[in-house]
Amino acid sequence: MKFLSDRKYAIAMLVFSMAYCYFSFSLEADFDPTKEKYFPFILSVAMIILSVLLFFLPSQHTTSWPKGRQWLKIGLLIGAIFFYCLFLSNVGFLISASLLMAVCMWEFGATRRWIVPVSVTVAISFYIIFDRILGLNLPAGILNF
Amino acid sequence: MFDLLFNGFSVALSGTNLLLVVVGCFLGTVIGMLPGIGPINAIAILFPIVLQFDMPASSALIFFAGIFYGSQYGNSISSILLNVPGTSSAAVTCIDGHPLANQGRAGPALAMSAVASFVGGTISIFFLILFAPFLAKLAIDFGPAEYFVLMICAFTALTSFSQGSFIKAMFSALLGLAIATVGIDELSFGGTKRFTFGIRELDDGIDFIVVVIGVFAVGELLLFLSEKTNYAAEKIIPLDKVLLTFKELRESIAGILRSCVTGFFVGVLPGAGATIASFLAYNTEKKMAGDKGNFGKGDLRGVAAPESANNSSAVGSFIPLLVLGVPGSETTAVMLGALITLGVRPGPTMLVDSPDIFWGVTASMFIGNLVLIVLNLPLVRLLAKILQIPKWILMPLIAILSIVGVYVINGSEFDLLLMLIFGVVGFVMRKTGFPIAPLVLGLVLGGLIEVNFRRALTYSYGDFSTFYESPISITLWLITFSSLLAPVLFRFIRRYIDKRRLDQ
Repeated sequence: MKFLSDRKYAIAMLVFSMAYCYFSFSLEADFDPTKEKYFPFILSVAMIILSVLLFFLPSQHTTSWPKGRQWLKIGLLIGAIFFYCLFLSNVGFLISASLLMAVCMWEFGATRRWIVPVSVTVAISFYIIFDRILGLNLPAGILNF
Repeated sequence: MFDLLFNGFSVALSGTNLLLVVVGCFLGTVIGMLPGIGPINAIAILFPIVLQFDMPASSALIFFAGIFYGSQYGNSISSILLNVPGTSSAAVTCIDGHPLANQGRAGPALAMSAVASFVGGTISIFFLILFAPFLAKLAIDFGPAEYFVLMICAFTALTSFSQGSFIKAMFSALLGLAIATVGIDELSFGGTKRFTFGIRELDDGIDFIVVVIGVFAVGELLLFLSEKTNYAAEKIIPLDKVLLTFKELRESIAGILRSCVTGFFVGVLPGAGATIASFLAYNTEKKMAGDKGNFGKGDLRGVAAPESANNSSAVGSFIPLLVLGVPGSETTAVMLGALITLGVRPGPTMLVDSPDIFWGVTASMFIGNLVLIVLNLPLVRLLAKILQIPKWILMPLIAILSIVGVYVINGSEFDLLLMLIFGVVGFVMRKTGFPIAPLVLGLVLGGLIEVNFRRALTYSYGDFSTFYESPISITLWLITFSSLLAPVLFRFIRRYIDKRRLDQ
């Protein structure tokens, strides 16, 4: 039995479905088709069946995962968005968005000298358009003016 | 009917709505043209912002519809000039469009694409007007049980038409349904919290738009980083005059009309959509031309057929969305989610109860197509310049725009974190071959499917036979099973034909 990539995913699917099944079964409600417990439980059973099916009937799909340097780039972007979430309300939109824009631009291979001016301009214009003109509240943070 | 359409025009021509049609069509063309971003990203990213304006549901739908069918015009521009389809439904347009551009005939190809899109898009609106009220009459008797079966039918059709493993597509749909069960259960007495794990932000459930933006915008950004290495602007072919001769038009008009009919009916079917419609139309025309055609090497008819088909299929896909309330594709699923958020539940009664939505959108499509032919014929030389915007500015801009959008929904950082998590989920799903469209459909329909399931069983006192009692549900089950079998049957027939050919 060759270990195709689909078999690995089937195991991951099974783990997820079992967890979902466990949590749906531990809901405090009657096991009645019209109650809140029944539907998720049926879903989880169907998901478990599909996981088992995929294990025994895998497709020939082969995943081409990114290589080392690309993982680094992906990780960096995820990290940048994560820090944006953390910083947004304390530091404010202008600084967080400029930083995120700068990281993004760098990752997509922008010319060095363009990165700082463009990202600051974009952050400021977004702030003006969304916060000042459209009236959607974006956190001002430490640059409160 | 004509007074209803007339009222529709009075909705569509009112100040704001007229502006929304024009802006929507313009955005649609641009977004359709840019490879990597499609109408679904645009609608998802703009929805939170639209939500802040308290506009009526009809206006929001007019706007989103404009983006949707507008993108079917724009997507051929990059197919012809860059050999990269703007959205997957213009993939076939590359086959003849790009060779034409290489022969120095990019202008006629673009003109043909715009004209075919216009004819296909406009004629299909008449089909929409004819078929929608008829279908609504059929669907008016649907109870919760029939609705449940109808949604099962939509799911099966979408998953069986998606590429790759059927099991994986089905799992992806169930995952969407599972995500939709998170939060307070509204049907139960007192409101049981399900799968919130004590996180207060999850009480109201996971906002579908946060998931869609995560899976599409962030997921595609990550995918882009993992695959492409060159982000510089593409070189585009210089344009000559964007004009057609009368002879060229006369040669392709029959094909345009045939493709328009094919496209519309494929668009109505759940799951099939514009991509399959354009493939079918192209292949039909290629077969009909036989040896006389220059298909594959640069034939204007090969541009006309898919462009007419994908536009009319976009119009056709409004039938399941507006008449049945069950979308057949990811983009219409997001529109359904948007309508539900705005407090409108599409379905057969909507045509009677709030006619301004259906007829307003229908009328706005006539106006939209006029706007689009102007954008895509005389102004296409200006628009094509947008393709020269380098990726290193475009992609970060999309990132910032989607992050702003997600934040303004509830003003919460938690939503941003969720978006990031679903971005990673979307990236992994794309890499591992799990289709995204069933997940989006499951997510949007999840609440409705559970409510109808439980309501049907409440009415029948827990008797499951309610799901296969009425002739409507039996028919729907039959369609469901045949759509399960159809791809298998197609594969079987193709293998048989190939074998015959080899034997000869």
